[in-house]
Amino acid sequence: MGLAITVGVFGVLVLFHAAYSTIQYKGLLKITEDEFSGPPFNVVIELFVGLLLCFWAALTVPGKFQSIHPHSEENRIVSLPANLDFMIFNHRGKVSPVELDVKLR
Amino acid sequence: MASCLLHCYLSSLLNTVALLQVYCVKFSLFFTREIRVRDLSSISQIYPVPRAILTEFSLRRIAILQQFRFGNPRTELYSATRKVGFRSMAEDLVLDTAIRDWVLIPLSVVMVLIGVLRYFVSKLMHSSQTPDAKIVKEGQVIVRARNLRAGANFIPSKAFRARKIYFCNEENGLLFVPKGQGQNPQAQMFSDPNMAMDMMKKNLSMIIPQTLTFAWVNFFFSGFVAAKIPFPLTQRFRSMLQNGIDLSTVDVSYVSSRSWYFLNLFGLRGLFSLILGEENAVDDTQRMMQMGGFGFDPSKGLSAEKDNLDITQHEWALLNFEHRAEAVLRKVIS
Amino acid sequence: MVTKTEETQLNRLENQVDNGGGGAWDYLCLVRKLKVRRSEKVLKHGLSILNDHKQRSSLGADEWTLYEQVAVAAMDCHCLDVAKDCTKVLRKRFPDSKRVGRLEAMLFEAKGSWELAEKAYASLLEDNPLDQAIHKRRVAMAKAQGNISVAIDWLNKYLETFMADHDAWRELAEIYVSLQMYKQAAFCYEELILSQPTVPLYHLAYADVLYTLGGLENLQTAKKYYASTIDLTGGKNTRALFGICLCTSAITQITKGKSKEEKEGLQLQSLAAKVLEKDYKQRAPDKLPQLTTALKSLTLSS
Repeated sequence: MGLAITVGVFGVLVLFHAAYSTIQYKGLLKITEDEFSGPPFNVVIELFVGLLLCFWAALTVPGKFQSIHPHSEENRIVSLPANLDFMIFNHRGKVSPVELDVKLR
Repeated sequence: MASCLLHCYLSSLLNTVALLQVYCVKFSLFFTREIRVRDLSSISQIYPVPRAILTEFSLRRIAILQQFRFGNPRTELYSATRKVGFRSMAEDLVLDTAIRDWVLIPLSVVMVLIGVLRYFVSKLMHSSQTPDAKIVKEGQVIVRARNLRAGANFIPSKAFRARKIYFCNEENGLLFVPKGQGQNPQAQMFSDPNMAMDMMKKNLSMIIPQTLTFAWVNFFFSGFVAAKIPFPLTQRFRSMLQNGIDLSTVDVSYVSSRSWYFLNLFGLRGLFSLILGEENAVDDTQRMMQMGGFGFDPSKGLSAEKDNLDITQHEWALLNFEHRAEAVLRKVIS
Repeated sequence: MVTKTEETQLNRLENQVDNGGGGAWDYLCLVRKLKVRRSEKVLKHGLSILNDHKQRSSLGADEWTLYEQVAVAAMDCHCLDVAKDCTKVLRKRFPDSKRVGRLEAMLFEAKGSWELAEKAYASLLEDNPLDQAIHKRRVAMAKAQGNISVAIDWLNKYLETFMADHDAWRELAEIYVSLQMYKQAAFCYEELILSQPTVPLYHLAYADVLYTLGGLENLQTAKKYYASTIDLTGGKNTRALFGICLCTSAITQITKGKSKEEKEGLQLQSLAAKVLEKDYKQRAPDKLPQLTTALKSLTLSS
């Protein structure tokens, strides 16, 4: 968890650095009066690295993926809820009531 | 409290005046390139602004503005006029921080507070009337018919056909509404005073505060450029963001105060759901829609559902489930 | 709906609470959420929370929900004193609540004084004739008194208005099955499948009913529903596996293996039998001989 967050923060920092470098590069181009056709190659690489790190962190930090299969453990329905709205009280348990010595105080 | 409010209004009034003057100056700079303004008081001489309005307050504002744009206002004023052109004029509008403090923030805060207040008022006036049995039943019929439509392929075709006839037949089908029986909502409203009362309450909690706030905003805050959004937008958004400013030269990313009011009106839903809880948020847009629909007619829902059900084809999904089950079992064994 | 993970969680919490490991409130919440009937445990642990002043006050507004839960559990366990005390506390806090009124009427039911309960429900219905919970209680009361036909009448009347209430459909289906009125039960299960098509247990129950009805067409349909249950549970439902075996052998008995389709059916049966054997080997090895003889008799009879 901690690792993933650190990686995510690092990724964001890398992205910011890429943005900063691009701005710098643009400033440089302004001085040399060149046309801006795209960021330099190493910045592009940096962008991709940052993107991958952020991706990884974003997929890891929030938690595990849940299954969508109906027969997976999370989704497989094993029993229906007791139909409590139609609960009746004179069942066989009435014959042998629970021996409980505690009372509501 | 009252004096504070009064002060707020007065100062916002002053703000308006000052801003208008700033516009005057700016446009003068735009149109006439050769003006030299040596002294601030000469502004009022060139442009016939009533002397009394040009208070110290507004003078200071102009001074600040000019200082920001032109350096020292008393000396180098005209140097800036060099570059004032069509584009640059649109680009570097400088918004006074006082506008932020006295227009933008108060407007937002007031909108939030009014939303909260309206929530509580509507809660106070909410009457827990028991719904009519017929309406409840119609709702349930619609839900069941929808279920039938959605899950049709999971039951055998015989069962489906029986149900379809039960719902859709032209004599006594559940979804069948005889002609003329679908009540006119207007007539229904007159026959049931409760309903009229309900409508009125709804209006009370919605239309009245809205009109009042709109009038209030219009009266005190109109004419301001209240904010600038940090990204460029196309011309199409002009009517949305610059309501009340009839200038085509101002960049679209500037938001007028009236538009800011509208943005708040429709955009604060998320905030309300944070403050008041998820389900309590008053959804203005939705209510507006309802107003358009004016009175929900359940028989319409019934006949719509009937049409949907009529065209539903039955195709039993379970025909190939045996093969699927085989595949599943093979997987289990291996 | 109780899923597998939730079931394991519930069992784990129950173990933990029973052995004094704490987490009683979480357990009670889970019981409430899953709507399972663990009245005895709810009564015991709920009471221990309610009697502990510090724990109780830390619940905040949930305290009253707990009172209600414990009251119902106490009625189910026939600890009427506790139920009465809880209801009294609630009545004191909410002097004119309908929900508490329902609880009091239920207390009459638990005591067996049906007339009083009936009267209480009637007066509650007068205030709000569309209260679903009270209509349901009346059905349950008729059932408790043994007037099943009256219960069916009430239920049908209720379903005429609230026809999207699948709990009521389920109750009606179960009543019909208990009366061996399978055609009616099949209708109710169809309704349940329509409202929740992905719940395998409804498919299973529907298949059971169809298999019991008999006849070639019904058997074939039942087999398909058993197959869909297997598909939805990933072959982990033993009853569905047995159902496949039984259906196939019953069908072959009728058709004597004439059509080509039946050959494929036999394949599914043998697969199901294999899975059953594997399952038994894993979970109950001592019952394996019985299973093999049972399966053999099924295949022999075909």
